[in-house]
Amino acid sequence: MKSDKKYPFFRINDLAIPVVLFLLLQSFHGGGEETSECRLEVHTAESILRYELGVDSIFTVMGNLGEMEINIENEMARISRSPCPGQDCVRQSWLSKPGDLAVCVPSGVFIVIASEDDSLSPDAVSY
Amino acid sequence: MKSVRKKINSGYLLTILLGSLASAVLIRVFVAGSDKFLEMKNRTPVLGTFATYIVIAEKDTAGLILSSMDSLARYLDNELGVFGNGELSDLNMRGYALIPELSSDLFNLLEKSLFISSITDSLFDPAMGVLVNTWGFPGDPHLPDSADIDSALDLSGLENVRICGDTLLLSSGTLLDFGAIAKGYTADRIYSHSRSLGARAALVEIGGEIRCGGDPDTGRLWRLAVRNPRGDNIMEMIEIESGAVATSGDYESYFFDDGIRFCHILDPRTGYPESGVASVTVINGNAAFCDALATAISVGGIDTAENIPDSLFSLIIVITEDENGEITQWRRGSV
Repeated sequence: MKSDKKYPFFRINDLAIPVVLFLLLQSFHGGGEETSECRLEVHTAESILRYELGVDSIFTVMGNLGEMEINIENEMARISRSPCPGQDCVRQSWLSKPGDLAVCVPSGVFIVIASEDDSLSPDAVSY
Repeated sequence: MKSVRKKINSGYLLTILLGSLASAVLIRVFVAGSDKFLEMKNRTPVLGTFATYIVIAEKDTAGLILSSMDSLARYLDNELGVFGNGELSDLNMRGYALIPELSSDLFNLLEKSLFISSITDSLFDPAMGVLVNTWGFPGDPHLPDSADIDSALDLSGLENVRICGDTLLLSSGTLLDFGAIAKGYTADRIYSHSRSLGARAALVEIGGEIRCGGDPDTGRLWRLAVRNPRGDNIMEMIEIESGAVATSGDYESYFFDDGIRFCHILDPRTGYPESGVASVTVINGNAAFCDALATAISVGGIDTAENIPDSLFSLIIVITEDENGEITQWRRGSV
């Protein structure tokens, strides 16, 4: 009985346990907010590169014909420069929603907005 | 006593936290460990474009299967591609080949090509190598002189391919070019190859032509997207357990001359690129047929699509564009 007084069954600090457990589980499953966020996937002949859409950036990737420039701005992305003859990929508008894609066939490169939830991304694109 | 209690509480908390973390890790290990199959993906340049391979196979063989798929793709590219130096190159150079000596791949490719040609009034034609070269696709596309197109037409078409006894003969100067079916055929071959090596499920995509499938108990449903020919998004998203999808579009390779757009899909009747069809998607069980049919329908339009036998497709989608730029979608069948 004496010990009951000193060590109550429940103290307010014990709330930290479920909170930390919840955070751990969230971290294990990828987090709540992040699952709805999008990323840019750059598919080249060599690899699939992934970029955060939230970070404005300009970068280059190597396609079959040479360097291509890809631009991320205001959570949107586009191919801004390509050595391909048709320039169709460069003329396409900004990509912003999951599933939006721009393809440069001569370069062998396509970029696609992918959801963090992989189940929404296609396994392959027919073009 | 207070300090002791603190120690006890923090130890208790730490135990729970570590225990939870360990459980999470164990669950992952257990889930992974209980499943002896692994899904692996690879992308690689081949056939003048790039390819995606996905396999589900036993952990110790998945990587080997992927590697073997890539090797087969490169072999077929060399043997059946116009830029290779294998069997097709030899045939085009010599102008003849003994049919019994043809590889099964070239024989099958010829057989499938002749079949699709026969049901599309020759709108699919694998004997247009000279015409394709005259237009300079894919490396140096340009508008040729009309006289050059007429000369190329004389050397193009299956009427320039004959069988005499057991010999396959090409008219002098005629070149076979399987560019409109080879990607689909190769996708079929690599898919079958992966399955014969033990892949429980596989997907092969070469330049947008897709073949996929697998054992039903893998539960793998393939999500396949079809590109919008006049947009920067996905036009259609389909989910199938097995099958093939091929798309032929005027956006793949083209150039402008005097404001007129010329695409790489050539009409064997006129020698000029097709116009009016932005893209054709064909879905069925065989990528080679889908690939060749998509090309033939791109040339012949909806009239051709309406006459394709039911057994050769599940779904055909034709996107047309009129002179005012108005887009219309036409569909036949369903998935």
